[in-house]
Amino acid sequence: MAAFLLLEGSFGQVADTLSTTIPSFTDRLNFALPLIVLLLILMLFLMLKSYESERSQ
Amino acid sequence: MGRIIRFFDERFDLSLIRNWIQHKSVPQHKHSFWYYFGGLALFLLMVQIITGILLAFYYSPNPANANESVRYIMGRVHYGWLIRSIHFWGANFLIAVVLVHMFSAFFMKAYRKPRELMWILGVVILGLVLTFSFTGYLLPWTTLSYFATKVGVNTPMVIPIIGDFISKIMQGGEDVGAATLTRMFTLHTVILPLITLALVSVHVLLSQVFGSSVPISVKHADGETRFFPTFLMRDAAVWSGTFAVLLAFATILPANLEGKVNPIMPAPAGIKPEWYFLFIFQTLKTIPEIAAVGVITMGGVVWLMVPFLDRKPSEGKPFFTLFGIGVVAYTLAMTVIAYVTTAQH
Repeated sequence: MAAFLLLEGSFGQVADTLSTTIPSFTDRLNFALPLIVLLLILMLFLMLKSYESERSQ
Repeated sequence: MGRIIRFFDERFDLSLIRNWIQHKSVPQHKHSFWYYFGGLALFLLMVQIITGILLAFYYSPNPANANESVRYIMGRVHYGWLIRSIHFWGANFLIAVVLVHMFSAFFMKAYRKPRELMWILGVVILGLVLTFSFTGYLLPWTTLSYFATKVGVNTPMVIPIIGDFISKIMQGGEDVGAATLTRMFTLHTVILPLITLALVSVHVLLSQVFGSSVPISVKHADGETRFFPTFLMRDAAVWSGTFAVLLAFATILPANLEGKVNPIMPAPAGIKPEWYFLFIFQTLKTIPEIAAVGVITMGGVVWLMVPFLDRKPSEGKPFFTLFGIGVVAYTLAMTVIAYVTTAQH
């Protein structure tokens, strides 16, 4: 419904029913922490591979 | 994979690309660390484009809905809060990285012949990145973004003869309103991305033609590292680490969204621009506005023309290095003064 009103150009009508409530800090962290750890592992892996590649040159 | 490559090779002769991949290398010396910032800026630009496209799916560029549509993105769209927060922090990261890339190129005198055009393009790209930030700032249509944009679009009015015209063109009328919002949106999502992508492509292409610049102070490089795959893997490691930090910022400090514009309300007290515009803001406060606009414009032109002013850069002539240190010191000092004085309000 909200998306429809957005297209209709009368989104302001539902503004009161909307809030900027975003997930709690814990929920946000639960989602992002595994991704951050994966990215850091990927970073270490790439660094190791690059040093390996440099040594083999 | 081999069959796909063979398919294209038989039709387009990929020997040029193969040759380039085999021979592309990066010089190794004590300042090689700074080479990573160019690739990092490119990576962050891609992050901004991808998150920007995702935000544009839901954003509505008219005063009746703009703030509500951002509220909708933050509160209802799946991971909308994350995409907007990455876009917000990504803009800050991108400006910081472009600044580091530019100053490192300056102090390594990477602008010297034959890379003059690369320098000019780089400075123009920095201007475009800052314009991205300025045009994007109004889009959430909050009271703060409204009044901050009002200050920004009114600043050119101090320029004699053409100032009023420039201000009206930016606003799309006599005041900041619906026309300003659509102009900023069009600039932010269509015009600036097209120009930026074109200039960045030429900048990157020139860096392939000329290769990485070795600073004058480095008499003998410690050798060279092959770009494929060694340096590219290190580049990717830097991107991965930076994205992890960006994600942490977006998660711990998500982008804020204030209430909708109320133009009849007085401007909020202690209003100040983002950190990268603080030195301009403080300059405008410290000296008469017309003089400040003149100084900043002239400063920009001199900065752009550095490769042609510093015709014979060498270690023994530190004038331009001192000039660069002066620019950094002035920018930092004005930023700190603006931050401290506005924080007291």
